Amino acid sequence: MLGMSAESIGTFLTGLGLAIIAILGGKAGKEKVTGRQPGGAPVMEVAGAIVSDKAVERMVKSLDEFSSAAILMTAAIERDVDAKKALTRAMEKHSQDLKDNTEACVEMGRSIDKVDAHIGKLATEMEIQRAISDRGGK
Amino acid sequence: MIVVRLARGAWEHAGVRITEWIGAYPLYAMGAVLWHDWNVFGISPSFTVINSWASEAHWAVGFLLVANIRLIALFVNGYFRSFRHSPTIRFVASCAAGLSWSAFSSAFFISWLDNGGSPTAWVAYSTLVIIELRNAYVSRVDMAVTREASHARNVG
Repeated sequence: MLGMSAESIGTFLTGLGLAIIAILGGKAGKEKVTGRQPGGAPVMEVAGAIVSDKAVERMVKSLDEFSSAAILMTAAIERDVDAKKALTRAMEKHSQDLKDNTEACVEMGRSIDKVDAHIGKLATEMEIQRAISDRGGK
Repeated sequence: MIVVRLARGAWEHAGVRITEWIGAYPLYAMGAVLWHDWNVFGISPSFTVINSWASEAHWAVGFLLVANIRLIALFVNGYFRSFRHSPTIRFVASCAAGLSWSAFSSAFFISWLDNGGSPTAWVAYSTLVIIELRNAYVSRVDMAVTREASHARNVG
């Protein structure tokens, strides 16, 4: 073929392969050192990890979405805290009202006891008067 | 101890350079066989063309030389990282081994066509050529990495 012997063809093909490998290997080695990935995607270091630009873009986008969600959650938490504060105040007021009510009931109980004592005394006096008037009628 | 450190250095890079290590075996084995028995090429018509190019002794010296250069470069590259030229030596050894096995494959191929030799020999030896092409690639990458890193250090 082409006037070349099999030995020449074999040597030529091997030499051609080695030449191509020398070019490709040099390129790959250079890309390895400069931090570029095969295929040309630039890379950078983030927190000690080597990541490509696209991966960094995805990370930034996720962080932005996370920040937005965090802002919404903060507002919701603040509303929840305010509601709980109002509830606590209302419960404190009710607690005070119950205390006042209890004191009033205790006072009323004392008054009822007094009235009961007076009624007892009155009943006794009325009995005495009746007894006197019955003895006088005879 | 230096032997332990050499072995450790070789082991750490064995994964990437495994085919270079493996490729040293047929080089040594072929060199040893041809050096030991100077009538190997008379065993089969497959060796007719090889014998016409060079004798067993010449082939043995060539194979053993390439094998030794490769092994020294592999040990040095694994342990003495400051020696910048060992990837180049590995690349040259891979090229030499690849061309040697290519010559062997071609010779067996021609012997099969013209002298009634075995057709399987050139298949087996061409496999070694492919392995050496891979070794050449790996060592070439290491060459470029070493050169770029050295350049960056000098600039910095």
